[in-house]
Amino acid sequence: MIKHQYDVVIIGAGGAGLRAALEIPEGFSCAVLSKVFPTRSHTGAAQGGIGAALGNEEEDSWEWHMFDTVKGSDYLGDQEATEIMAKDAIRAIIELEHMGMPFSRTPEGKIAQRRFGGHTRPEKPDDPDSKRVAVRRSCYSADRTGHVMLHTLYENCIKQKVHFFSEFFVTDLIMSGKSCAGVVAMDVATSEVHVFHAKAVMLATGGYGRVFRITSNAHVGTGDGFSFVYNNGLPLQDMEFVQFHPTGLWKLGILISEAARGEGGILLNNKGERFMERYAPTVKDLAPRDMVSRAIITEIREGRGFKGSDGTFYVHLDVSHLPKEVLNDKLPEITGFARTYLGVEPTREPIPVQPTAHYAMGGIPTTVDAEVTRDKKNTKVPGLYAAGEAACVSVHGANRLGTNSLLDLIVFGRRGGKAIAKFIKGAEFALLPEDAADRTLERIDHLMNSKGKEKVGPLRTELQERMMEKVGVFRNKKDLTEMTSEIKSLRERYREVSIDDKGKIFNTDLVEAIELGNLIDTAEPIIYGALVREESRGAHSREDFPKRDDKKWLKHTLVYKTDGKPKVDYKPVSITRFQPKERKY
Amino acid sequence: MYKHTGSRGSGAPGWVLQRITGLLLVIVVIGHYFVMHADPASGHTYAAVLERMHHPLWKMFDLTFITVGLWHGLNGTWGIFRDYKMKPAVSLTIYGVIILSGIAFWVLGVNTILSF
Amino acid sequence: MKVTLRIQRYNPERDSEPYYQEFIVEAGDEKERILDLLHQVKWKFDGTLTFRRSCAHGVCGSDGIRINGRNRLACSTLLRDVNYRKPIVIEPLPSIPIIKDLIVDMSDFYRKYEAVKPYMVNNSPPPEHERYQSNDDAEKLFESAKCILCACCTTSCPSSWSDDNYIGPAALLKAYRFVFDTRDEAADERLDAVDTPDGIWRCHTIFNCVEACPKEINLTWHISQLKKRLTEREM
Ligand SMILES: Cc1cc2nc3c(=O)[nH]c(=O)nc-3n(C[C@H](O)[C@H](O)[C@H](O)COP(=O)(O)OP(=O)(O)OC[C@H]3O[C@@H](n4cnc5c(N)ncnc54)[C@H](O)[C@@H]3O)c2cc1C
Ligand code: HEM
Ligand code: SF4
Ligand code: SF4
Ligand code: FES
Repeated sequence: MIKHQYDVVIIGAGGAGLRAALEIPEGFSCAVLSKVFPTRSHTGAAQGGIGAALGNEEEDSWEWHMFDTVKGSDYLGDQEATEIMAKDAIRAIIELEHMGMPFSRTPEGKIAQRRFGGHTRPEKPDDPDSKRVAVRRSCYSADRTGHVMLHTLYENCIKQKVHFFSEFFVTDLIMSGKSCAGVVAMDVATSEVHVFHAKAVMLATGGYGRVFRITSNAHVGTGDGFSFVYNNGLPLQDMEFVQFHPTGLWKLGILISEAARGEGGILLNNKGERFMERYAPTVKDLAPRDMVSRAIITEIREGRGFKGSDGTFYVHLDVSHLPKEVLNDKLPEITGFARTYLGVEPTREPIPVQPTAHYAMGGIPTTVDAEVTRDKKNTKVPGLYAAGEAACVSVHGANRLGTNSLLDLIVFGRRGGKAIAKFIKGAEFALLPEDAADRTLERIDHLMNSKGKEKVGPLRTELQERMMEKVGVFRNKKDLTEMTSEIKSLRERYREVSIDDKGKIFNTDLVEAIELGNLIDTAEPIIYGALVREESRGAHSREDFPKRDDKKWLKHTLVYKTDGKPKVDYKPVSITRFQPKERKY
Repeated sequence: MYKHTGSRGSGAPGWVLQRITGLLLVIVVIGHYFVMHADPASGHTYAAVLERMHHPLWKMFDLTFITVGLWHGLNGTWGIFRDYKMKPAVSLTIYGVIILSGIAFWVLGVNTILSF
Repeated sequence: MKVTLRIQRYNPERDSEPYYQEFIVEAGDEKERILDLLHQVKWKFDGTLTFRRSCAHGVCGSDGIRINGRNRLACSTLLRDVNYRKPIVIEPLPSIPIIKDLIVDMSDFYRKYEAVKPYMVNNSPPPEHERYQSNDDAEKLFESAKCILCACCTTSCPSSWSDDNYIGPAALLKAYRFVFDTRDEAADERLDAVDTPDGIWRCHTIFNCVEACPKEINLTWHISQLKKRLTEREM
């Protein structure tokens, strides 16, 4: 076992982790740990853009951005946090540009912006109550926005000589009393266990898409950060809100960005109808993701979908009417995906799409300065921070708008970094418990020596399929209750998992086995959150409770792990400017 | 890192010169072909050579040819060697052989041309 | 349908040198990704098979490998892109050290990337708004900014094979990305970094890298722009 001491340890080298690292002042030591090389983080997959009311293409204001985000969140987003994000967005994007991010440009040389689902402005700018129409708010770099943002941030980290531990797989947090004292990690190259003693730890571990069978997320999106927190007795917030993106490539889940619809693409059912006109008469295909996903599933259930060779159903996304220049210059990647993976020629044929698990609205509860909190009174956990998709500030509430996640990463990643910088100046190292690495060592030992009959691959597939069926776009009490016992039995079977690789060098078999444990840990609060929330709000849609219920449910859920059934608690929503209204588009 | 044999300056002039001399060679080689090889009967007699070589323009042509050709060929060859990692002693030897043979052939050639 | 994968295996804890092992896997149709088939091997037959991967759709650059003698991404190569009636030969990227099975040591590749100062340098105080740049100037960078650092190019380059100190096309491309950015002020330092005996002049326009790049980046064109820029500077 190898011990290190750093003032700050950041877990995760996606947008959130890297942005935070840039805030750690010289003179303090900072290590960034990532289970993949930094530029392989999933932020690089983001396509469409990053939202900010720059007003480069047409009039816009941060208040409209805030309103759209609150409305998009189905009023569950904390408005204090949302206001901070919408206001800071403008500075944050300019800063990215100054860091060197290559953006697409307007004719005047400003950052180009495009339309995106749920982002609107009042038709008459002086009358805030006039009809809302789509606005160009998404700053983009062709359809590789996340890729160039991730690279720009990593490049700036190299410039600042940030210290990276690449292919270090974090397995646990170290808690010392009520504070966080560091993390335990395994160097994948050697299987050596390392203990990182730190004054401050930031979790920027991204999402959990791989809990579901069809997902746009990377294979490494296994919700590790959620499981660390959950297993250390801390709560997870609003986990029932899982965003299903409406347009994943059929069968594969690979994302076809909303930018395709932002540039004019439309959805069609098997009758050739532009069905979104019925569900969202004003914004149509650019309605928020939860609505479009439900519309697609409804079309399919009512027999207006196409049946695929694998037995699943899809609808068509048609971009063939768009000018060739738009497809080639503004959407080159996604037209490429359709060509490469499905052999569909988007300039002529429609693209088969189906909803794909995409984003975790819920996560580790934090303050607006990324400080992790432990209860409904927002009591802080000293030394522990979280940002990015792993965190729940909460700005996305029950449904995230496109372009708001990349924004979340840089706004709250930076705020977290600044908060840490302040904290470490005054703080001492918390006492490092003797047994800090024991749980990890036991876990590794168990897996390496287990002779059980279960295998990682099939068990994971089973989890993913059950979650897709029972905790998908539409949910109901019966399915969810069944799922609570399924997850229990999956957890028991997980103890019987054995692996083939008994070696020490790059034992990815071992890594995947630990990741499966994390997936199961993460699935549990999703299921319990979904079961207790007896209403439909944003991405959480209960067939048995089809209406939003502000009287009872305008509150956040907090799920805690216990030895038996998880414990659920609630936290109020911060409402400042916008009172809840019915959400119509 | 480790020591290299040869010029320590920018590689740009060498690269451009290689291209320019390459281009010149096309022209010169075409000229050479017409004079020497286009008509198998002509150009090969001592008298013809003698007559040509007394003309200063032809002297210039041949001097250019030998200079450009040698430089291009040897610099190109050195370029190929440089693509390989070599012990300094080996690379120094090869470099030396290339430079010395370049000088030797050039002196020989220039001497021959000017002796007419 | 059944497909045979002939995979190069090497586990330093067990084997003295690499060997080949064949697996017969079941493919749904010819649109199956090679990555899915590798997963099938790992998840069904042999958990010790080791390779990197993450995004599974060609955006993260983790899974550059050699398939039937060509450097490609496992996740962006479908069965129909190769001759699957014969065993498909799968090997790690050539000419860099193998760590285990298909995993290679990328540290040298990253070191070369860092050598060209891969970050924007602009020491003049920034304006309050963005630094303006015409769309034409921005688009000159896009192709080079697409690079996912998969190393398919550098490991396919004959100059890299003969001299492992050669900086390689990927790093040169990164140098281009910043040298030609109208907002950058450190072009000279970067040009110095590539204008070395192991630098840009070791590129002989052989085009292997262009053929290998999964993001269809025309590396050679970008490298020749750099050569031109260097020549202008020196002459
Ligand atoms: C296909 C796709 C397209 C998207 N498009 C957009 C878009 O257009 N606009 C937008 O705003 N949002 C978009 N999103 C959402 C957005 O990209 C993500 O939410 C965001 O990038 C998450 O960033 P992150 O920094 O939180 O985490 P990630 O970028 O996922 O990074 C997680 C990091 O944590 C590390 N890590 C995780 N677990 C461990 C562990 N156990 N040990 C060590 N390290 C660990 C990983 O190595 C990685 O470095 C998209 C998402 C997807 C999937
Ligand atoms: C028609 C006449 C010729 C032309 C147009 C020509 C052109 C070129 C060019 C452009 C290069 C640079 C390649 C590069 O590095 O990018 C080159 C390299 C080279 N030339 Fe020539 N050349 C000609 C004749 C010759 C002759 C007659 C010789 C031999 C004596 C020769 C030997 C070389 C060698 C050895 C190289 C280096 C090869 C390399 O760098 O890959 N060339 N030539
Ligand atoms: S073009 Fe240059 S960099 Fe590319 S393979 Fe050829 S020699 Fe290597
Ligand atoms: S240039 Fe292409 S082949 Fe080379 S590292 Fe980048 S993406 Fe890979
Ligand atoms: S897995 Fe990301 S590029 Fe292939």
